[in-house]
Amino acid sequence: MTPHLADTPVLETERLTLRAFGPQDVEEGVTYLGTERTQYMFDPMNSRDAWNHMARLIGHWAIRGYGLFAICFKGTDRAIGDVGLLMPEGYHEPELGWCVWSVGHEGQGIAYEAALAVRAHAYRDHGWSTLVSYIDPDNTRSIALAKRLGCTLDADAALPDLPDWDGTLAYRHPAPEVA
Amino acid sequence: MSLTLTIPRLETGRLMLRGPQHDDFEPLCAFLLDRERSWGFGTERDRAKAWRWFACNIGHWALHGYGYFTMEWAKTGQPCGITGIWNPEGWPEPEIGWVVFDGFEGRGIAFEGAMRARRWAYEELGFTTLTSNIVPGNDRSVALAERLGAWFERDYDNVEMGAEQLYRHPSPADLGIGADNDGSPEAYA
Repeated sequence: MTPHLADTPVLETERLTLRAFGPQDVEEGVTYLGTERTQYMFDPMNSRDAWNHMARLIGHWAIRGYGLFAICFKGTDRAIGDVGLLMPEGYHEPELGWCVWSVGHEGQGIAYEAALAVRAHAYRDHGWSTLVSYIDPDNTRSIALAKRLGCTLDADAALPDLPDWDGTLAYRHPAPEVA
Repeated sequence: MSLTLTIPRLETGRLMLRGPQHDDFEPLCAFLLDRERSWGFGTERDRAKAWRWFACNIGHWALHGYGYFTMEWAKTGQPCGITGIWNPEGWPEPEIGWVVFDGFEGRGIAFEGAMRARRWAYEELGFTTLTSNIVPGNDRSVALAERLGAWFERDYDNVEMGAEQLYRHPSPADLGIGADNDGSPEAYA
């Protein structure tokens, strides 16, 4: 029997295709998770922790019905980053998160283009009325992107009930009618 | 696009083995946070960690095509434990594991479920051997492994659990289970 666990939409932007994480992303994902690129979220992972992390991202889709997309250039199926909607246990509301996996893909507006598409998808297809992005205060690139996306600092947002989150900034996205 | 996982439903006399569902989280979480019950399996320190294990198991199914089934007590439909094949990165080899939730002990559930999962792995996945990794001192699990026909093979260090004893299960041939020539497995025991 093959149970249907989640609809996983495919989002198209001018340059990008966004699709749910799958088995085809494990190798690239494990490599990325072992680098310093994740420094504002967690320490580099060994291959074992990274494999479990990738498995959890797939499980997230099945449990919540939404999750993290792989960012691919149109016409390719290789993940160069991630963007999506996260709501693991401990969160009080869904987060819009993003990361471009290599320095070589920075500075091209990829995360901006991807995050805009996911935000529009969340408002349109899930009917949500708000979104938050949690950002480390030292992560100046992500803060700049949040501001470019029209986010404002939300000092009243409840941070996830998870260890080591003190000091994390919550950026509130503009509501659907103004986004 | 949709996320589909091939997770069979396997029946035994009293149990239904099926893929994880939303409602399984609370009883699983209660087990994972209960150190007294879960020390031999891997205790999680809070709900968030337990949820991560729950999600990881579903992803494990997607990545490997196997994982832990939820065991459902057929009569009532209640989740009464988990059993299945586990082989995350770093594991010595695929192992068969079992857990029975609070209130369901003493009914032979783990034995019945693990027997069915093992037969499925041999018949449908084509495994030729299976192991069970047991933390020293977990006498109940050792007794069940031995009841399943498994024997102590060696001590080793598990990447998650530390010192463990590896038990080797009887092979498909030992159990009279085989695959026929056209590659489609069948039992002729």
